[in-house]
Parts: sequence; C-alpha cells; structure tokens
Amino acid sequence: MSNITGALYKIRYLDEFSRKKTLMHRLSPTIKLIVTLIYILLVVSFGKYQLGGVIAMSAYPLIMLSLAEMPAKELIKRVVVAMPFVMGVGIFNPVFDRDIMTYFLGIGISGGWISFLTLIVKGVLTVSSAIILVGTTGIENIAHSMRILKMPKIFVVLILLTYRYISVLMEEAASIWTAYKLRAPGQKGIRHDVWGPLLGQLLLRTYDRGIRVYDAMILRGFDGDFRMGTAFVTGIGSYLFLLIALAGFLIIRLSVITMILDLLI
Amino acid sequence: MSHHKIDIKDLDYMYPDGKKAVNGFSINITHGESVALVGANGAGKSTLLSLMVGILMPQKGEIIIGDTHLSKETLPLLRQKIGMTFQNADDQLFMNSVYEDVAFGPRNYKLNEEEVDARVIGALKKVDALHLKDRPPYKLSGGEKRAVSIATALSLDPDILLMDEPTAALDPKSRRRLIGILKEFAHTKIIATHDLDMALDVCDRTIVMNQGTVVADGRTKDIMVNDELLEKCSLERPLILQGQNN
Amino acid sequence: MHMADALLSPAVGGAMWAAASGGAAYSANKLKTDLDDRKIPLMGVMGAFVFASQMINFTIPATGSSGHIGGGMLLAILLGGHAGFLTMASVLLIQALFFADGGLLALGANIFNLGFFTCYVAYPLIYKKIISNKYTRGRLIAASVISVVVALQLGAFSVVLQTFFSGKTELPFTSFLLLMQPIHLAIGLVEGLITAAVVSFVWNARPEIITHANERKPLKNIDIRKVIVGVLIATVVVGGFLSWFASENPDGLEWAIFNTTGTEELEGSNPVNEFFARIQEKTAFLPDYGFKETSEGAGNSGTSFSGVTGGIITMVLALGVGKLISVFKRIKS
Repeated sequence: MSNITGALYKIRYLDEFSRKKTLMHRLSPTIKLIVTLIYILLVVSFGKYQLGGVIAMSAYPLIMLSLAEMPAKELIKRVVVAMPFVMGVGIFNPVFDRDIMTYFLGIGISGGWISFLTLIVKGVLTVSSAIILVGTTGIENIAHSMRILKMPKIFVVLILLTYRYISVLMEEAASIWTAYKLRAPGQKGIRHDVWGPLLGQLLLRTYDRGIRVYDAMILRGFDGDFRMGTAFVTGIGSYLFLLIALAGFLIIRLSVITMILDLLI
Repeated sequence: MSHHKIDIKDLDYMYPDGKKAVNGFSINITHGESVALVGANGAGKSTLLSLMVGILMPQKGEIIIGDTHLSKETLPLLRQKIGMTFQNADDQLFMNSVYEDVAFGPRNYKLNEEEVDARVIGALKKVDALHLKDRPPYKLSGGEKRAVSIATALSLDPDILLMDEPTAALDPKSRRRLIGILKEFAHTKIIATHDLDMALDVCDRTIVMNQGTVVADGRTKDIMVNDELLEKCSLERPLILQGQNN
Repeated sequence: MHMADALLSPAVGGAMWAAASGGAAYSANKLKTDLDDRKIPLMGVMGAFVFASQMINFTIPATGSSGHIGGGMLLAILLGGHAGFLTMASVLLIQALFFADGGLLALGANIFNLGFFTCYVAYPLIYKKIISNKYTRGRLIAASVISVVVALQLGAFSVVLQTFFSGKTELPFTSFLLLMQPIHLAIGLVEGLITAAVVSFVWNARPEIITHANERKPLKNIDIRKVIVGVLIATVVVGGFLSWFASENPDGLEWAIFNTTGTEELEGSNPVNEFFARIQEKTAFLPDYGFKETSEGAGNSGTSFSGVTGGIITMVLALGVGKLISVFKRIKS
C-alpha cells in the first residue's frame, strides 16, 4: 500500500513539477531530450578508472537543478532507489581488482575501489539527468519530441495512454490492496489462493475500461489516426542552450581543466 | 429546426450472454426537449444510450435522428451531432491534460489549430471550467471531471446531449452547479439517472424504463408523484416531494 | 531486473538501443497494417495495469517472502506478440523516466531483456506451442509458467552478457552467470505462477479474452524469424561498429574532435598549433582524468591525482554557478 501511494506521489510530483515555468521548462523539449541523451552517452563513455571525469560531469545536473529550481531532496530520493543493482554488481570490483593504483594521504587505493566509485557516480549522474529531463519537460512534451525524432506514432500514443491510466489503475490497485489487508491483517502480501482472482478481477475491469475508452474515442471522431497539437516552437534560447551544453560537455570530456592544471603545475 | 428530433421504433437489443437489455422500446423526442430516463439498475438505460450512438448495434428496430437512419454508414455523421458523457468520467478523459482532452474531438474532424483552440476555450467556458485548462486529469475533483467530460462533448458542437448518470458521486455543491449548467443548455437532452430530484429540476419530461421497455412516459411532475409506478420500478419519490400528497 | 546506465558502455548501450528500436519499429509497422483501432486504448490501459500490478506483493507459500509480476509475458498473452512488445516498451520507458528504473541508455537493453524475450521468443515459441490452440487449464498453467521462466532466464543471461561486454565491472563472467541464473529461476517460478493464476482466472471468467489474441492474426513463423534475425543484425552491426571505433581510438571522441578541427594536419606550423601540440604531448604522459590503465604506468603509483582534482574543481565550479543562479533568482522574486 505505502508502496503504491509512494509511487503515485513520485509520479505526480514530477508531473506537477514539469508544469512549472522556469527558464529550463520553457526550452524546447526536443533539444532537452537530445542534450540529455548526449550527456548520458558521454558519462558512460568514460573509462572505468576515470573517476575525475565523471565527477566533472556532475556539473550539468548541478547547474540544471538550480536553473529548474528543483529541490535536490526530490532528486536524491529517486536516485537512491536506483542504486542497489549498480552497487551490487559494482561491489565486486574492489574484490577482484586489488592492485594499488594510487596513494591518497599515504593510503594505497586499489583500482577496484576507484572503478567502483566511478560506477556509482555514473549511476547517480545518468539517473539524475533523466529525472531532470522529465521534471523540466513533462511526458506530453517528451512524447511530442519523440514524434519529431520520428519514433513510431503508435508507440508515442501508447506511452501517453499508458501514462494517463497509471494514476487511475494505481488507485484501483491501492484500494484492492487496502480491502484485502483489512480482512487479512498481518499479511505481508496476497495469499497464493487469491492471486488469480485478485489480479484477475482488476484485469477484467481494466479490459472493459479499455473498451469504454475506445468508445469514448470513436464518439469524438477517432478514426485510428491520433492527432496531436502543434509542435513546440524552438526559440533562439533553446539553440543557445544546446550550444552551451555541448561546449560544456566537450570541455569536460576533453579534460581541458585538467590540462590547464597540468600545464600550470 | 425539427431535424434534432429523435425517433426510436421497436428497438431490441440482446447481449451475447442472452440477456435482453432493450425489448421493444419506442419513443419520440422533439427538438429542444429535456428528457429524464429513469429506472432501476439493469432496466436498460445505459444500453439504450449506447444504441443511440452506435456503440452497440440493435438486432431489431430503428433509430432515426433528424432525418437520418442510424446505420454503420451514417454513424460518423450522426456522432458529430450527438455528444455523450459516460458514467465514469475517467473513461472519457484519456489525455494528459484538460485542454488536450477537449481538443481531441475537434482535431479528429481536422479543424485547424486556431479553430480547435476557439472550440476548446468556448466549450470549457460553457461549463465554467476554463481555469482547469492546463490541469492533468488526476488533479480534478469529481465535479470538475464531470464538467470537463461535458466540455469534451460540447467542443464538437452537438445538437443532442446524452448523459449517463451525470450527478453520480458528486458532492451536493458540485451537483448543484452541474444542475445550473445543464439548465442553461438549449440542446435536446436525454439524461439517464437515479437522481430524481435532479430530473425534476432539469427535465420536463420523464421516461420510466423497466426490463428494457417504456412503462411510463409523461411530464416529470406527474410521474414523480405516482407512487405506485415508482414503487413498481424500484424508484422513490424525489426528496423534495416526499411527505406531500398529490 | 532492470539493467542500469552505469553498467553499460556506449557500444553495448547503443547496440541494444538499435535492437530495441528495430523491434519497436517492426512491431509498430506490423500493428499499423493489421491492427483494429480498438486495440490501441486496450494496450494503453493494459500497460497501466502491468505498472500498477507490479506494486502488489504476492506472498510465496512456505517462504515468508513475496514477489510480484513482471508483465511482459502477461501482455503477450493478452494482446499478442507485437502489441505486447510495444506495450512493454512503453511501460519500461515510463519506468525509466519517472522511477529511475534502469535509465535512458539502458532502456534499449531493458526492452530487449524484458520485452523481446517474452513477446518474440517465449510467447510464440513456447507458450503458443504448448497451447497449440487447445485451451485447458493445465495447458494454460504449464504454458504460462514455462514461458515466463524461460523468458526470464534469457533476460538474465542477456543482462550478464551486456554487463560483460561493457567491461565496467570486474565480476568474472561465470561468477556473475552463476549468481544471476539461479536467482532468476526462483523469480521466474514465482512470476510464472502468478501469471498462470491470473491467466487461468481470466480464461474461466471470459475465455474470449485469452483466446482472442491467438485466433485473430496468428504470428507466422517467418515473421518471428525475421524479427529475431533483424534484431540480431542490428545489434551486431551497431555493437561491432561502436566497439571497433572505441578500440581503434581509445578515446574516439577526442580523436574525432582533433581530426575535424584539423590540429593534427597543421602541426607545428604556427605558435598556436605548437601550443596545442604541447598540450597533446603533456596529456600523452599525464592521464586525462583517471589513472591510466594501459601501457607503462599500469597499476603503479606513478599516476597523479590531477585528474580527480580537475574533476572536483569542475564540480565545485558548477555548484558555485548553481548557488549563484539560486541567489539571483531569489533576489529577482
């Protein structure tokens, strides 16, 4: 139950946040989507020991957070949930890679620890940038951008419909769960003999709902072709954002600051 | 303007499981009338509404709207004239914002975006919901959802409105507001409902349905005090008329 | 099990994206030609159903632990292979965006692991073969359980392969494999049993829902083979190209940049280029960010911390800029 309401809260928070009107929110969704994808690719392109590089890449989400006025707390909450798998797999790095790679304050640090840390930072950054994208753009705009980027229309429509009914179905699931718990106190989950009926009932209701939604659509002239509104106008600000972001990424990726540091020393 | 009349003759509909939901149903509704369709659960009200917009196709009988026979071929044309709202507004609001939802119909009829915008704004104004324009559906109250779902129908500029339980699950204030809005519409209206007080308020005429057929058809004021009839059809006098004698 | 961005290399992530978008384009195209429109909203609400049902925990008898449904197989059974695949893909996309499950780069891998194996492998080759158009409770249960288990085994194996080829972890291939497969056998059994329970319930109540998907447009074998071959080719080509690019040019991007700006060709012709040449020379010995893993300095302490320092300085700068923006915004409002 808390599981479902928690998930609902998370999704609605981001959805509502994406309707804000900060500078970041007003940029072209397509450009934000492209910048985010490039960013993620660049982050994962760093080698496993390039800890400094991935730390430097944190510049982008950090600046975006401020520009979008997004509370870091909300971001961290989501990032934390995403980490266990990465950590679970990454924790073997220090186990298998024990060669001392460098010394810090006289303590030898193995390559495994460095690659582990690199992995964690990468995880945090990739997840953050995706959440910042949704939080500043919203699902509808992302869907529009996907159309502009030539993704199949039926897929885009499907995403919008699925998204719309997640709220509705999670509420239904939550009330079923509550109804069950009220009559089965102290159980952690649904007992096996009601697996089928419980989920099956919800499924049947959902199936019928799907048919009613279709009816509602055809009553308003739906003919199989889903028509969406006009595309977003991409202003000069968006292009500027693209330019600055790409330049910033390159500077970091090509380690310009480290070079300068090295030249100075 | 007699082309908004509705003629239903000897209509039959049986569900695939053998349940006969509509059985020899005939009515005649003229332009601008406001008709309440009442009857117990399972009397066939929702089925009748579905038949009138071609969601279901009758096995027997005919439906004539204006001068057009309802058939597979004439459906697209007729659906433009008839707006319908469902019992559950969530089934009808399938887009992710109010604006997109109301715009869905006009866009399907390939109006240009300027015209679409005008239709959306106009429809939302008529139901007093313009301020909800950018809301996601999950941030709407029951009453707001109802208002918006009516707007989705109005944006196609229909002549006839069919409504299935419009006041169900509304709080008293939202219900009152909705009644106010409904009273202002000049459309031909058919409202399927259990809310007899609302029927009394909004509809001059009432049709009582039982087991798929018409058992009474007359002025709402008369029907709502016919205790014998009401009792027979599992209905009750509207609260406002309780304790009064005929 | 959702694959994560951080565990992927661009080559593997890109290859999986290619595979997944190939699959999505194919199924979308397939649906466009032989789908009745009725199915579109149905797919949408079913996607939402899977989403919601994943939140409900089911107690596993005699263990005290609980599991939940994955959904790919259920979608295929209800909607058919193509529609099931596309619906699963949309569920995974929303999960990646709103719940940080996986990530945007890993989305391709996840669609492949959780959508492709269920809808395009286990569904047509196992589920439908077992049912072979004779619906009985026993067949439905066997078909659901076995196909879910197999799909999950394939998916887990695929996660291991993707992780291995990405080379971001030290976990030996076999150890990872021995870890993943048994865990997913257990998960698969539970998921398979839940799926079977739901499918047989629905079949009892409304058989047409379960039989419908199969009767309408049976997937011809040739179709499946085409999808599988197409997806494999896309994976190999993109993956191969990207890893070639990466290995030929340890830092492909830098190589590309220096090439296009022409620094290499103009070498030494003027003071500016001499300056760049010097930078290049210097950076050839000093690591850019990390602790160079190749050639001379492997594993010894000869490497400096300047890489990490550079990174931290950048981060601090960004934090400063962010702080400034916030302060500026507060003053303005």
